[in-house]
Amino acid sequence: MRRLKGILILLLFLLCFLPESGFSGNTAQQIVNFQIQEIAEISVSGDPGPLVIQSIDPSYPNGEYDTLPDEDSSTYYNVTSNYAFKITGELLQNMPQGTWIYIKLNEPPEGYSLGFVALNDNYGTKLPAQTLLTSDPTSSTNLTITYKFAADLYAGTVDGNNTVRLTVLDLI
Amino acid sequence: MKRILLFFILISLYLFNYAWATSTVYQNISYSIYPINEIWVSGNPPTLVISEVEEVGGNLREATDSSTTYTVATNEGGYVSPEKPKRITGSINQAMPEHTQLIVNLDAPVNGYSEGDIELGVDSQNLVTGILSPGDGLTITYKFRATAEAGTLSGYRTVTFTLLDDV
Repeated sequence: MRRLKGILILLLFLLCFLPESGFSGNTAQQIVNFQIQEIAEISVSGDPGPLVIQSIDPSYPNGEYDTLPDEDSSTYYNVTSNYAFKITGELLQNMPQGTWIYIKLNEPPEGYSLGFVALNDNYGTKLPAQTLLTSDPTSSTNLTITYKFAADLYAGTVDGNNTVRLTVLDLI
Repeated sequence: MKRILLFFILISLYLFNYAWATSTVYQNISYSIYPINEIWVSGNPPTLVISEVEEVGGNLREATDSSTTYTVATNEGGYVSPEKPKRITGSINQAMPEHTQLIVNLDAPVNGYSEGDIELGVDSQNLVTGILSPGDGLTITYKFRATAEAGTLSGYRTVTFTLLDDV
């Protein structure tokens, strides 16, 4: 009796730890769990060329700015996301007063660009801004980034650099 | 102890997911504003015609015109340290006929000094000095003077205004 009890315990133990397939005859079942996490990747082709202001706006003093803004559209971005997203732009440092940095991101097919958006206010203080919104997941490449540098005369003569951070965020 | 461990695991998972849910790139931008010093005029003045004699003294009455303006734009002036004040000089391309004078007077920008009536010649002369701010729509006044010895004549001169450092 004692031996039988021992065998039964051993059998129960084996039943518990044998693979499930070991249970079956001609069928087998597995539960497969799967998951796709939120993915958002953005990359840029490099840094834009120098933005240089060197002449007065032809419509001065009735123009939007005193000087003729300079633009650069030499860089591109690639973005892949599996959820609706927005892209924000932000300068890491303030700009000199009387100057403005604008950015415009060309939109992917599923997106809506907000056009040129200022990344700093009239005092030069950096100002995070939304640049683009999408309603659906997207994967797009070689979308143009355009920077515009504008200034009024009171900005004086300037030489500097700054860094723009582009971030993909959940639309909500 | 287990609860604390679980808490940190959950926080780590959240941060891990957050890192995946956002993506960031950086672009460096460089910018410059070069010195800008420009001057332009609204157009040419009408012909200055002397056609009358002053009632007192019998001299020819000068012809005047203040219908044109100039604009001066500088981003150096008072905005840079040290200040780089500007001046405007004026000259004509050819001497005036004998017994005649062409005189110009430029209104000055807010931060500038007009030298008043200046007789123009082929050599440049200061018209406005100490310019530290831009100005637009500033009046140009011309005076054409002559004496009877000049006789009758007609002609034209090209006036050149130049914006320079006021050193």
